[in-house]
Amino acid sequence: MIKIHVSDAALISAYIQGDDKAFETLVKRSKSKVFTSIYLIVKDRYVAEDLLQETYIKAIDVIRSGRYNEEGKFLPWVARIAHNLAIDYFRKEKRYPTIVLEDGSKVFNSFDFAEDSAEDLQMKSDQIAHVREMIKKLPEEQKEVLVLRHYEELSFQEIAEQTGVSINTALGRMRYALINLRKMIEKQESAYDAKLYPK
Amino acid sequence: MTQNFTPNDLIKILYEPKEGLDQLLNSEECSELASFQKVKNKLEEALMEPSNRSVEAILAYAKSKSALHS
Repeated sequence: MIKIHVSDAALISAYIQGDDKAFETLVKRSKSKVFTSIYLIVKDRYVAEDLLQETYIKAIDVIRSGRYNEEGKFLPWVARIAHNLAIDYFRKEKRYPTIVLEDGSKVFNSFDFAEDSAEDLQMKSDQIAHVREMIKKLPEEQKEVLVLRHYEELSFQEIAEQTGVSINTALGRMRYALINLRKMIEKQESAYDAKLYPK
Repeated sequence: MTQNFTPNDLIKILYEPKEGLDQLLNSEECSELASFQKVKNKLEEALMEPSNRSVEAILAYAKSKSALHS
């Protein structure tokens, strides 16, 4: 069977014409990267779930109102919406820090995902979660470029414009981010080996 | 023909490759690029999936808006 890749622009046109499946395909293509980039900013899975919904709702409203005029791919556009919402949330959180009660619940917590908390704990213990923890440990400037380039798929030129630095600085920050991650991965792998094969 | 690549060039090749450019790399640059590729693969593995509930809510909204306009 031959699989034909339909462009994002064609899918958006199809959605505007009333094809819901077209939008479903766009969501399937982009959701993991958008969700991961939000999570890496807000550092809370449940907040990220909420912001993800808000992001796509905004995108749908823009497309439906006929104001969508992006010529590029859907992902960088929707990721930009997500990024702005996540940054806004992060700033508000800094102003109004969450109050955590003794039982671990948050005051004014409107996110009804309590049954997932065991899953979250499990997630933190797995290998993949370690990589996310490593990303969180990066200096802010490096993490920002890494998220924008890897998960939001902005070009280095676009990152330079968005963050107000030269392309070379953006490239340099990405390079240091990768070098730091490489060091952390190697350290983790050698610790894992030492545990598996003690001398 | 040899070409000198800066460390930042390697990052550009990793994320925004141009056809044939990687063939101009020397062995040291190739090995550096491969180690960055390994980290890039790890980043891909670290992708998170949102819950089905969130995705269903988004698709339901998309559908309702679609019905409204048709």
